[in-house]
Amino acid sequence: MEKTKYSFIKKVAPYAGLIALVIIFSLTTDGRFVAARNLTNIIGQSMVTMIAACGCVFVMAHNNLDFSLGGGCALIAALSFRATKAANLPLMLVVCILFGIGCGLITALIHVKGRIPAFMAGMCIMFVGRGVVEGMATNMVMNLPADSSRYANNLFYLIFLIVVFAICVPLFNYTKVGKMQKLIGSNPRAAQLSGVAVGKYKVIAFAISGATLGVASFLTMIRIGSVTKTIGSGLETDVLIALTLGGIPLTGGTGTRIRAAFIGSVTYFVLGNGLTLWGLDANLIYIVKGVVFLATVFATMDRTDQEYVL
Amino acid sequence: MEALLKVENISKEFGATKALSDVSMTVYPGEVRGLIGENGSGKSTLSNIIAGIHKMSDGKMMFLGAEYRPESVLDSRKKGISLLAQETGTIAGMTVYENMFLGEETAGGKSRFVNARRLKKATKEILAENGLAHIQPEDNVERYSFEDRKMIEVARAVWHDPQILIIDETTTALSHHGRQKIYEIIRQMKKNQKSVIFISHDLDEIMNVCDSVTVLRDGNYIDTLPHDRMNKDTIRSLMIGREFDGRYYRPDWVCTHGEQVVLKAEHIVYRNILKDVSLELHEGEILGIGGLTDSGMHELCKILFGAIRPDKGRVTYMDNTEITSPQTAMKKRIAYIPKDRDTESLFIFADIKDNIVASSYDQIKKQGFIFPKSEHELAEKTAASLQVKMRDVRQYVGELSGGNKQKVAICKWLANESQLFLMDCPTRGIDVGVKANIYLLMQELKKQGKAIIMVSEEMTELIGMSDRILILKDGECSGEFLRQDHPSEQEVIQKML
Ligand SMILES: Nc1ncnc2c1ncn2[C@@H]1O[C@H](COP(=O)(O)OP(=O)(O)OP(=O)(O)O)[C@@H](O)[C@H]1O
Ligand SMILES: [Mg+2]
Repeated sequence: MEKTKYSFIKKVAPYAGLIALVIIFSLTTDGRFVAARNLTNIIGQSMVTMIAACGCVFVMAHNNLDFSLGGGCALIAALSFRATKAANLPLMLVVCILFGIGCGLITALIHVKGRIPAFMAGMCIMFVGRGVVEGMATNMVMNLPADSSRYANNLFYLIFLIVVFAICVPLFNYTKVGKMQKLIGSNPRAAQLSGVAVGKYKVIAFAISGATLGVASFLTMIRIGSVTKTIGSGLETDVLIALTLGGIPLTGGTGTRIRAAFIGSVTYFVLGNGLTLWGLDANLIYIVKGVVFLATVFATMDRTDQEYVL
Repeated sequence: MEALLKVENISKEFGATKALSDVSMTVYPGEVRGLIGENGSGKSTLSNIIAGIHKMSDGKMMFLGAEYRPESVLDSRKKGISLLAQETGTIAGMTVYENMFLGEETAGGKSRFVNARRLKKATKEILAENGLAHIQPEDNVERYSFEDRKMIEVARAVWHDPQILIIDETTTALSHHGRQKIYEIIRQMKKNQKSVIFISHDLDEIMNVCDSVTVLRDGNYIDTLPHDRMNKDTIRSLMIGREFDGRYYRPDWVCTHGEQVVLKAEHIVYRNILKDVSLELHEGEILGIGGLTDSGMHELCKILFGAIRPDKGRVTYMDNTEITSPQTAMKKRIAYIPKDRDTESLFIFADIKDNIVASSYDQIKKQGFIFPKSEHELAEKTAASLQVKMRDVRQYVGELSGGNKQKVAICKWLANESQLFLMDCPTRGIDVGVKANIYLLMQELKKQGKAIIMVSEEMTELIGMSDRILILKDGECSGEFLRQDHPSEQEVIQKML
């Protein structure tokens, strides 16, 4: 396949997909989709996912999946609530980020030192997180102070998004941390023999993913005003599908672009929102999302390496 | 005589790259046809088209008197043409027997189900016939060395009993034994009135093996020389389109290097592959290491770079730092060019720029930031110094010809200004012109006081370039030659066998 043409298609496909969805939903929902309230709602929902996806890109770039996101989000929320009693929100944010990094480090160390696939290590965090939250939420009510609700608005999220964006994008595109992830994803063996400290950079990636997860977890708490049993559930799949829709190569490597986190999250929530407006049954929406996910994977997965086989 | 294979006016485009234009060639039964040309001249493209890997853009092929349009490798194999590919043709992660019968798992059996036991048994027989009894059919192919994997492919190709066997630069990847085996196969084929298309950058080998040679340049057919008109100078100038100035190996015959020992290996033991090997490398020295593939020389190279931990012994840099990982080695500006370039050296699905700067980020970063502009400049400068044939540095490495991939692999370590080079078969698959450049480069590095260890399977290269040659045999040092003693190929080979 000729590179220039192919990579051009790959580059515009996520945008084209988003625009197509927006047009379709605008035309078929009697203006409900383009209503200002609906749009702000979509943006609000997508921003938290975007923040988590932003860090997750580092992990996916070196060809791993982070399955700890949902359970990790719950774990971070519960523990930080416990530790700070939500008395001081800035302090709580810092604690969230620290716990997030902790989660990331645990996943990474199990993966790197224990030589266990990262997604399994992540699942382990997922189960622990769910267990802890279920236990704690049954025993006590974990409400944030009432005045925290005034932060539950898009402007507040946007500030966080901008900060995360301002840190992650240069880190990913213009520093060794990002470059190394992409090399490891391209060919881990060659990366090692080019002097890349493979283990170290994997750990860094998970730590970054953990930090953004901490932020996402904090914002989720603000949004719902408490720590509930179901907090953060499905975040890992939301992020994975969003990134895929944003055009991230599933096996990582030098083709990984961080913009996938932004464009993909919007697309994902536009899709969900539009289908709901169509009046589709919630279960059916899951099925449609599944089909769209598969179709995107099919369209974007690089199978050129199998070309020579037969 | 009736032609066996007729290739008529074939063209092939890869997007904007014209790899072949209007090439014709006729091969007769019992003929061993050489195919030669610079890196990127289209040799592999032509053989891949004949073997059904690529489809031609234009043209026509006749085989055994009928029109021939192979659909795939399997199809061409069934019709009677087998290919030994330039890069590894076995699939990692699969067992030896699965590779042996890839796509033909049910061939010869009555049932449509795969009978693993039968395949294993057949594989064992095929391996034994080819003197590869040490390879176990149920093992994963990754467990075996580059050479063994190549020989599995050879056994597979021979087992299909093809009318035409295409050998794309396989021999340069093999040590003495492997090469002899291939020459033997070629003789057999010739005797049975079958044909071979033989690609190599080694002119001596071409002269010895081939009955005639076809020269390609920049995707164009240049000429076909019958045996009586084949001579090295003619071939060379046809290849490069001008006179070749003849300078190649080092002109001097004296050992010249500094006193300072820059890298030292002491009593290295590794599994049963290396048994107590020690060596010292001096500044400005080119130390050649020769041996058969299983002599342990490739592993030794990895150990010197810290990529494999030896069971006993240690490797130290001149300031007494112990080299324990590729990172410590790189801090001391040590470079390692592996032999198995596609899996160990290159990022095939990344572009040329990313490959070249992969080890140089510390050099080009400014306050921790790496700017695309400096990446581009460095990549372009380095690629130009070895004349990599490419569209631009944004092209994928996977699209380059074999020799140009090798140049990129070397560029990676020139870019970060390494001081000490560990080269495992550095000129594998590189054409004569560029080879000469690399030899010049080595002499230049030597002059700057940089030290080089060159593991090589080519005797002439070892003798032509090294200040000192160490020969490994079964994991032990079996001989040492100094440049001033002017060792002959025969003497060197004797120590290896
Ligand atoms: N898949 C591909 N996509 C794009 N260009 C390609 C592809 N394969 C080969 N080419 C280009 O076609 C030209 C001929 O390549 P080919 O591999 O046939 O050279 P070669 O004669 O075998 O060289 P070498 O001696 O280095 O192996 C080169 O310019 C190469 O970059
Ligand atoms: Mg080639």
